[in-house]
Amino acid sequence: MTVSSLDRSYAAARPDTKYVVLGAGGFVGGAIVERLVRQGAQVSPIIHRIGPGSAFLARFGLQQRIADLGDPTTLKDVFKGADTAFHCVTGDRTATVQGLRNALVAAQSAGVRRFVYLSSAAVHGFRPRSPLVEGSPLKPDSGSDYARNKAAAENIIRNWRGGPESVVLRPSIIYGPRSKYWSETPARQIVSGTAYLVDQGRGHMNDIHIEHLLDAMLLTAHHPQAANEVYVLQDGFGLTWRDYYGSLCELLGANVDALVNLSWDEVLRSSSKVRQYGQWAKDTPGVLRSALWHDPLKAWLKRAPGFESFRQRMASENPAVPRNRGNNGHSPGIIPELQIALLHTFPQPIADSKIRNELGFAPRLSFTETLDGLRRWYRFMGLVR
Amino acid sequence: MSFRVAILGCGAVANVLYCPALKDVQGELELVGAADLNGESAQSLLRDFPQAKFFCDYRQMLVELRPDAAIVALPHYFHKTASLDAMRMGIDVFCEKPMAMSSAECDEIERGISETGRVFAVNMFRRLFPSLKEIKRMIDAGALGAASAFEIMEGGPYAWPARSFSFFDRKIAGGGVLMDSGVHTLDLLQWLLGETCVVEFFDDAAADGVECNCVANLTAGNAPGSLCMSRSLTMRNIYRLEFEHGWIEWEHDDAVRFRFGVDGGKVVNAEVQCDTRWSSGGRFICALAAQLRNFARTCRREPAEDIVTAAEARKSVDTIALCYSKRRQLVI
Repeated sequence: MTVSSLDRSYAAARPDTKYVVLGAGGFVGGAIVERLVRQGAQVSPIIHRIGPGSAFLARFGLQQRIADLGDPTTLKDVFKGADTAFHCVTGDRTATVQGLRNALVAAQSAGVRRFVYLSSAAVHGFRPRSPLVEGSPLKPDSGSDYARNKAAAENIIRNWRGGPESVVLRPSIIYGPRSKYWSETPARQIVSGTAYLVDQGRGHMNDIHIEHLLDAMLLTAHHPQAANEVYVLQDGFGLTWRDYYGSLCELLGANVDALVNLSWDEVLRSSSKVRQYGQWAKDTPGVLRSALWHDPLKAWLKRAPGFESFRQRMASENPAVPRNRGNNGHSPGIIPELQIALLHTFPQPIADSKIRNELGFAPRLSFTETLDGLRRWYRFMGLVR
Repeated sequence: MSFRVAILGCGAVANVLYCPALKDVQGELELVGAADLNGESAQSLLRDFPQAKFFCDYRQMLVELRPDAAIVALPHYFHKTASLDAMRMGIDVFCEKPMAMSSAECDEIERGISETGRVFAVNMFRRLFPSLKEIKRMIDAGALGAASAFEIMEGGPYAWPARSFSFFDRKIAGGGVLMDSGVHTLDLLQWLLGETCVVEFFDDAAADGVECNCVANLTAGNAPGSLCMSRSLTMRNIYRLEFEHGWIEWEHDDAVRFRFGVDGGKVVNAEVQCDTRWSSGGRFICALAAQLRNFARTCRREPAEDIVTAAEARKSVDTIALCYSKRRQLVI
């Protein structure tokens, strides 16, 4: 099966239905707009500002509308005549939390039938103790504003009454063409010799290809049984991070065995953030982490005179990897990201039997087929010849 | 006496490029008027040029102020009409790229130039980059032999501070990334290597949309090559030209540095010695200011470096029109 044949998806858009996509300028928002347009649906893309997302959406000749979810007045008429809304917005706390509330109010008054909210498996934190299921506790890491905001947004949906019907989707690592964080950045790091794995990348990747996520979004937008439900999602390829990086290396003509491998100890010694705020341990008490990562403290530190130059100096003087180590033997030095390290060592798989058993969701591309799309994309950008 | 110019359109390009460039050439060129439907857009320009008078209607401005020249910085859709309006009033025109949206519009402008005898120039700022002038000299001197191939990859996430969706509307912009930034690329290609022919063209537009990504397989001179452009992806942003006896390569927006090799020899990293502004973010302003000076001197029949005339500027528009006529779906 090829990506283009997904147009015959079992999770097809309905031509007689008007869809509103909030956050249409982003990766997932733009992708769902594209799927809807290709399937002949009416779609209204809502963006926060004119930017790269607008250029992507302009391909379809749709009227783009600018709205600030934090400002309810800009949402007037956004949902007029719409049956289904997809909420794919990320941003600061105001946009994510208050913005969601504003959007729900506007959708409710416009009579929207269903509201699909794109949350994240990050709401469960980095160290769940058992496989992630829909009922796993919401324990967003205190260091992640993104996860905390998503969890707060989920609470709003959970307590929402009186329509529209809601669906909450919790994907984890969304990869595929246009995925900046999980497909472009690793590829550029591999090409430049700055890619690294932590603890051999043995953690569960819990990947979901963008096309499969779109399937799930459309499936849950229409399936009667999905009303007011939550679903965790993954491809089911059972990939570790090393598997994924290994495949990317193959596409890019690199060798996964040549990637720098960092131990937790090396991460802890050289992570720029750890160096700033003190020793981080996998089992650091939550209270201490909250103190170290508390937004006001971070903001205060960032404003402190000389702090940024101090941070940069410390990071550059103490890279995790000596300059003579790494891919091709000339790595420019690697400063690991703590969040990446936590993901590379993620201890649990996502168990997505609910959406598979109850709604019949099944990823339709093999991992190899998804790599074909990535290969084309990398070739276009000049990352692979 | 300074050369009196009025600007038609006070959107992003007027504010980001023309305003600082006009400040650079103050004394030689004087901004006497600015026109835009939206008065707010003109505010910052008018702060910098308090002597300039604001108009909502550019025709009224041209009639009332009778400037020596008009700078057409309107959305693409208006380039032809505004340029013809100005020339028919006896006013010379410096037009923002693209010259027009189609070959037919270029024909009309060329007829207008013949009828009125006015000077008409188009902003093709990269031709003024010191590195590209040097590259052009090397090629024209035949230092590396005839061109044999080329590869151009250019683009990045759209970051232009546009104030409206006009760039994304086929009726107003005439196209997408190829019409917007590709017009510069194709102008350079034909300027450096010669006439371009379109072999194949692929883009990702659907229905009435405009392309965000495209691939053109072309010939320039007799050399085959490809051009990949994007408005959303970070491309390699490299121009590479191959010749019988060597190659030349440069980063797309680098105004002073390039690399070349001769007959399989060592890579030579070249850097043109020039004002440091050419190595900074100010290089676009430098290039535009230089073009405005050349334009003003040409209008006054004074010695000046070549301007990019309609006959030159239309070549890239013609190539774009051919690309769109051969369009096939791009899947990436």
